[in-house]
Amino acid sequence: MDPAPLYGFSLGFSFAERWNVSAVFVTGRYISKFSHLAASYPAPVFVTLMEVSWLVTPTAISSRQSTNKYDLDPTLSCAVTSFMKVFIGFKFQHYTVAE
Amino acid sequence: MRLIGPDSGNYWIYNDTRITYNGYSGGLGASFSAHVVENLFFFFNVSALYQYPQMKANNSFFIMFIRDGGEGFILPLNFKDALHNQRKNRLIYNAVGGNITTSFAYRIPAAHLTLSLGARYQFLYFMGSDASGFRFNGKSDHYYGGTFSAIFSFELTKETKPSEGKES
Repeated sequence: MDPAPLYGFSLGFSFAERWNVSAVFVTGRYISKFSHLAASYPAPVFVTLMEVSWLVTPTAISSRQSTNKYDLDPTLSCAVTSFMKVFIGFKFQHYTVAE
Repeated sequence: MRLIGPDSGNYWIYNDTRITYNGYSGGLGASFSAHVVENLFFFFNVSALYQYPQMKANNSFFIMFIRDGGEGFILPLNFKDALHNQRKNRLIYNAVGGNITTSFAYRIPAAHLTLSLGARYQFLYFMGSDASGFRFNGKSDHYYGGTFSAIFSFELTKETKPSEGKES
């Protein structure tokens, strides 16, 4: 999968001095290219059944896939000390792949 | 959606693949910060997560024959095991992993702005297999990259009223 930029926005809210609620949303599109041999498809069977005279041979298939990514990260954090926070969060990832 | 043609011959394979992936995760972690110099801070986050992914795959394959005269026909290739995943497939498995992010943040107080530059790495280890026997055990997902953010911040504080006291 080729590298791709992801972009989005974040929103945060601090309250009661040490608590913070925030959410980060990013989205982007990946493109991947690959190739494989189409040796497993039953084209020769069809060729025989349909009495097609010319020969069908397995061939290298190059494919291009696009993947849309949507990523949401809401978290709740609490400052334990001046330099340390602990947080708990939920992550939702959604991908749609089309080939 | 695509058409695949061979180097020679008069057939084409038509493929329509749609995959939808939803990952629901819960995680917890810790964030550490250090004041480097004036207005420059260093952040380091580490977290662990569990993910419950669901994936739906729908692949359809067709083959199209065209004779030299131009006439042709299309046949579906949706026979069981003729191709991998050429049927509707719903996969459910589990994943555990973690995140590490690190960044330098520079505050510009006059603009209420914080600029951050850093890097992130996420690792997911998959477990389980789907009903058709495709095994996810041992497979992993590595996700990494550089990060940049610009955060505008402001305070919502209750405005103090000017003193209403009168000089005596």
